[in-house]
Amino acid sequence: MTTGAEASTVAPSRRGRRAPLTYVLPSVAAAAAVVVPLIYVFVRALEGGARGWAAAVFSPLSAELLLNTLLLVAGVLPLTLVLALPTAWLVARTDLPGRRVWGVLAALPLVFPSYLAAFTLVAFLGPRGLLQGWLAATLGDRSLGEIAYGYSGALIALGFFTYPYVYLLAVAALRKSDPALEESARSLGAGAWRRFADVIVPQLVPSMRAGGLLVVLYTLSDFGVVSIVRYNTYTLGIYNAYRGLFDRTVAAALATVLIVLTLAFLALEVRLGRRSRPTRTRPSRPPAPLPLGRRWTPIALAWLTGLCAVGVGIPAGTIAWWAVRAFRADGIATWTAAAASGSLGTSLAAALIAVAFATPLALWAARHPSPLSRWIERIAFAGYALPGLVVALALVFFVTRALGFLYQTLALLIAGYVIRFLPEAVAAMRSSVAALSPSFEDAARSLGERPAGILRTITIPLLRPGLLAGGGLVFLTAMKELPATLILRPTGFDTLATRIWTAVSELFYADAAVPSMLLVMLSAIPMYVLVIRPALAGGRS
Amino acid sequence: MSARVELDSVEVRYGGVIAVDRVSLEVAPRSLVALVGPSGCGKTSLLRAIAGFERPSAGSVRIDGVVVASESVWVEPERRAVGMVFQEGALFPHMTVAENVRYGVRRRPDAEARTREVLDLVGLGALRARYPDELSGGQQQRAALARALAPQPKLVLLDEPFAGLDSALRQRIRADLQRILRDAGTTAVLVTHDQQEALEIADVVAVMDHGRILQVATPPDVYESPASRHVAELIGEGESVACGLTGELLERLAGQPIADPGAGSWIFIRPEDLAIAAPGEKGADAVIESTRYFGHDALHRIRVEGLDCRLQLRTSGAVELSSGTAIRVRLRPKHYAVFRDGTERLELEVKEQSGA
Repeated sequence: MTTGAEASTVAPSRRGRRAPLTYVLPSVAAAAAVVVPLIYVFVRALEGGARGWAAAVFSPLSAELLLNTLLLVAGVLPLTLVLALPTAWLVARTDLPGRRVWGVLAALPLVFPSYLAAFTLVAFLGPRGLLQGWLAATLGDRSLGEIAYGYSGALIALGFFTYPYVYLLAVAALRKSDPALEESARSLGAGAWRRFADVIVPQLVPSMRAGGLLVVLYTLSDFGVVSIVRYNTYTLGIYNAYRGLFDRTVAAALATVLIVLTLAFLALEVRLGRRSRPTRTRPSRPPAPLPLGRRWTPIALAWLTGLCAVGVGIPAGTIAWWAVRAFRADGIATWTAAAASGSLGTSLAAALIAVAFATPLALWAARHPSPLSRWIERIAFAGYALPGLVVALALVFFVTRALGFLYQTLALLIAGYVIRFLPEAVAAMRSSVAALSPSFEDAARSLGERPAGILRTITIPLLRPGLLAGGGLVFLTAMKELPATLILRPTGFDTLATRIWTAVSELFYADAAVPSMLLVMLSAIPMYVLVIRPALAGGRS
Repeated sequence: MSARVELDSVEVRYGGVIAVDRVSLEVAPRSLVALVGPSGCGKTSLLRAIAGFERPSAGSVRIDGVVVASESVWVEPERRAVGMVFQEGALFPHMTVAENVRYGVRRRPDAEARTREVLDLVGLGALRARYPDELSGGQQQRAALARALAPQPKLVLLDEPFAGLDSALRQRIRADLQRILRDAGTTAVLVTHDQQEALEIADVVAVMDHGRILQVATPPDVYESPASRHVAELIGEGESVACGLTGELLERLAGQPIADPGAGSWIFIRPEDLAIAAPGEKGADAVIESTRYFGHDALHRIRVEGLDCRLQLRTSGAVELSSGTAIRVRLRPKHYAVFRDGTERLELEVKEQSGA
């Protein structure tokens, strides 16, 4: 007996069919470029014997670095949640006046790399800073300047400039949430607070976890802030050991601890993820905005004004103030231009190469899913999770031993960018690759087109949005990259990031201001187009 | 313009799984053959082997007398001049309708004229500048058909071309497709899981299951004289009833003396084979268990006394039967298919009841 209503046949997936070598070889090469140097860090760290490694890892210095790093994570994570969640809720779910504009403004701190955040904090609040200068002149008080340095400085800089990661994910989650859920709770007799606790908070949990993980990884890997505000965490300790000691084994040994620490946080996130249930629903309509009323509107506006003043106003204002002074100095245009061309050239090269490797990797993972392709993809993502400083050191250790001719070359710097930011390109290409059904290419073949022609007329045009977004993201993040650049650049080569960092380290704020302004201007538009706008629109589509 | 397709012991494997199991089939020029069968029966794999997207692990494929796949020969799909219409159309989303259609002929001098001609053939001339996402599902399928026909292929393959359409639209597009293929004069092979569709538009139906072809015949033959119990159960509705086991039940149903083929054989009874016995007619007592009402007719699940499985009864027009109603049913006079051991086919004749 048969029935007419049978499930429609699914086209045979390419599962089980062998993936073409044009997918496999570049993917395996990319994964090898990530994993071989990382393994070599452990080899290098154990070169002095297990005892030497233990001496470095279980030293008082290492204990202090570990404590400082964990204290910073313990402070930054809750601070970002406190800043991000109410802001996301105000923007996504209330009738706050001008909430579109506030929505973008609240994400803008992303435009400032962490070392710029630290620089402007120090230049505004520090002992020689703008505010302090004014305070000292009028009140004769100098104590406030201290908060720009050490733990408090690192906490403020990292908290106010990484909260947008949580904020953007939370806005998307709140916009996507189905109003029928809250209405159901209401019809079951739940009051406002019960609804908030039972319906809204569970919907925010996945974005808190994902955003929180990004914040933790960012904090663990940050070098720019802690080096400028002089707070001794693992990254700074490793950098000082690498630069200051003749024996690089100590740096390698400390790096192994940071790798393990990072992997531990990743594993913790995976464990937490297992317990929570995804609350994905398809909303029939956008949730109705909650009226704030006369009492809460001014409070909400004050909150957002304060947040944006610290996250956007102070850095933009400080950079502008110093830049105006710096333009009078001689030669500034020449060396800023040299640094800018260094940044643009290396970032562009990294973007192109990353996209060239990300395309076969994304296609392989999407079209021929197998345990091997999944592992290769996971390994390729390791370069992103691990601190840039560690990735750079791994490359240096590996290259000086095995491929000496690459040491101190631009090629190595670009390779470092590619290894570190390849996952951004892969992630950005995923949706384009998923939309590129293999039947488009089959259809072109059945119409008589040769493989090369199909690549030109079908594959590349259809992947273009992903290629542009992926390449753009790699370009953007490579432009802002600092620690790996400091380690990998050839002597005498500068990018905007290294210029800014060097000037700030030497307390020449005016010298840092012009390249800072240029960097912000160059990265603001791609950041808005590639990150902020899609994230804020994500909930609506 | 139209090709003969000859498949000889074609086998397609995915890793260790055999999707198509030594299938031989001949498709006559200008005919429309439907490969029909449940999900995973191998029909799409067979179609893709004809197109050249799967390489058979054994056997040969011949199109228009030319071997395109065998142990020693392999012709790439782009060199086979075989048109293909994919599930959901697979229209290139970054090209307009006209650009899609022109794609396969763009190097020919008459590209523009040919594009216009094919678009008119499928009735999409006015929508040539639209992008695929601006078309309805039915228009997309017609555009995909136009694209496949533009290079004047000798053979067109269609992979579940109506799967994404709602039922009202399907009806119309099926009729269009039949007309367009006939006008174009090409041979066509269609894959579908919808037997109704296969019966309606194909010249020849090939019933597949588990990678094998079970029967190749015209639609009426497949429906009326299925080659095996399996085919009977795959095509149309109905129930196999074990003979012999039920004593003289068959005789009661037939309302006349009948030579029961005995244990181990099965009679296949479709819903329209049963009728409610008129007063005075002989039949078997039954009770209606449930009713599905379709407007033009209704299907009733009935429990026949002495039979442990349920049968279906089709009645037309208004329904005054509710569940629990006791009725008497009889078999309509015709030649019934009887299967012994699933495959061996016998026939059993039920005659008009005398004196009714």
